[in-house]
Amino acid sequence: MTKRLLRITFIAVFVAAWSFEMSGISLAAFGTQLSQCTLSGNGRAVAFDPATRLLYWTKTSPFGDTNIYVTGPTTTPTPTCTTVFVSTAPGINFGALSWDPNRQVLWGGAYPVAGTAGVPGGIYQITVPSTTGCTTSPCGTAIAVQVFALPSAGLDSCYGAGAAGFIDGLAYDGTTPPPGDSLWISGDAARTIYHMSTLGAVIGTSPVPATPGGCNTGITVDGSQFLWLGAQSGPDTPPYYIIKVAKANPSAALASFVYPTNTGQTPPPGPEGLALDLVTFAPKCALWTNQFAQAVLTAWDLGSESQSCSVTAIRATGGGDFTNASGVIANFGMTIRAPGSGHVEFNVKNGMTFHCVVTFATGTGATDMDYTCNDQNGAPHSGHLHDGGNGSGSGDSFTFDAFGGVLTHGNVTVHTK
Amino acid sequence: MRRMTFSLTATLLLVASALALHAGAAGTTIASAGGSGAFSSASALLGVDLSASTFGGGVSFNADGTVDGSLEELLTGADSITGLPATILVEATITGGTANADGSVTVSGTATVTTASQTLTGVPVTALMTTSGITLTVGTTTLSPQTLADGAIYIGPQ
Repeated sequence: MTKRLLRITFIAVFVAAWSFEMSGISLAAFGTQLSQCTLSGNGRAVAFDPATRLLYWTKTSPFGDTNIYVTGPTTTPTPTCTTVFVSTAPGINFGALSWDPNRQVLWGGAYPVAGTAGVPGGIYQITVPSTTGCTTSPCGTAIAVQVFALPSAGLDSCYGAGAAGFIDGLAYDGTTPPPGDSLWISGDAARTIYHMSTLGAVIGTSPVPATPGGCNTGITVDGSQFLWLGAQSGPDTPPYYIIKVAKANPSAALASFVYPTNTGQTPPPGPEGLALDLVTFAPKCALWTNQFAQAVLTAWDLGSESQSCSVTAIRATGGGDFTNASGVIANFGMTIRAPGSGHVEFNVKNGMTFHCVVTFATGTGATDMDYTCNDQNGAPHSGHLHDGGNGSGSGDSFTFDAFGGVLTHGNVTVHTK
Repeated sequence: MRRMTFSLTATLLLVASALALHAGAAGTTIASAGGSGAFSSASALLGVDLSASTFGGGVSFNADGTVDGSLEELLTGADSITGLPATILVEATITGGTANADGSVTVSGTATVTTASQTLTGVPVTALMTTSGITLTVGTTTLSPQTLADGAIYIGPQ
């Protein structure tokens, strides 16, 4: 009897799990861990080269650590944590790194630890040698060239003004301002983020979000619109956060998740460098973090919060009418799917009827689509639809050339999967 | 023998569920309707003697086996007591349906039904859609077929 029950349970679970998988349903994933490598030392920077899938990272110590560590290539689901390192010339302890795919170099921000060559607020371009096939370290020398310095970064640090000039957040931005070539920089646990040209001119400054967090660590760029920040709630004080902000206003948190820590450890380990990874876990969008107090490289799922994984309409269904004082003047029914299939039936009362085959459709956001179609006579038409909610009066709209607008009755539903 | 019967049943269940899932993956059927209709014979609903309708709707039979969409019908006629013009608005969210062997589709869901004096929500609706008209069932009342008078109803592949 027990065996029979076990078999029934097994089959039921198998079928349920298989059906669930086949349904394409995915669970909300923002902030869940995708992969992790536990390393040694007091972690600091991390950068990611999507072409080689190598992670470049650093650590620091009271005497400085002038190496750049190379881990990967990144793989899934089991991470490749094989690590080698390259030395730097001059010998600089980098507190922040960011990959520049246009120049094929790393940008680095210095920790001016005594005995190292980094200048306060020093921003460098670093040419990294290939580490392919290298099994013993150092695997060559990375050449660092100072481009400019921002010694004021960190004057408002949560650690105090003595932390000024220790660059902790650095992100190369290939998209802003168009055509894109700038840097986002912050000092160690700083309250201000700088937007700089790659030549060192200040484009703008902004406070980091006061809540959650308040003290910034790492920075990375996410497309044309967003930045991700690492944050502490005070000097080495959790809760720690990973925060999404808009480049247009880095002082306001748009989304965040709590970075888990071990409060039994002194200090509790927290996030440092950040790096976006759109290739290793594709179609998921991931964020790599390095960690102070204990170097750990962790990939986090950004879910649909990443600009590159943002939710966009892929199909729409619905129908309704447009009515004036004389009654219905037009009605329609439609099923539209990106990139271009479906049908639109648009009927002008006592006028033309259009049987239109969709030729192109694209989501223009989570609730909007544009489409084009050819009618029964081969004539092209185009329109836009918007899902404002359920039922009449919710602001749903549908246009067919110059016809249409906000529905009087009916419904437009946009589907994102 | 019982063990063998059970194993066979379980296997058939698995195969059946596999077929059901993959049958849906063969293609997407859609129904898009925009137009007006005339009731083919006398129909009455909620105190309105119905004569005509306008409708707009789009329903997708998805590859994963789900059905979704909406159907809106504005039914027009006369108040059965006063004889004055009256309308009933049926706005349905479609959540189920079947594609029939004769090329028609039957879709179902729940609707908000609005008259001059009341609004009813969560009303079960079923619509039999053909390329020449719609037969609507609101609650337990099946209306006479609405014959397409203007516009078009498309039923076919996406």
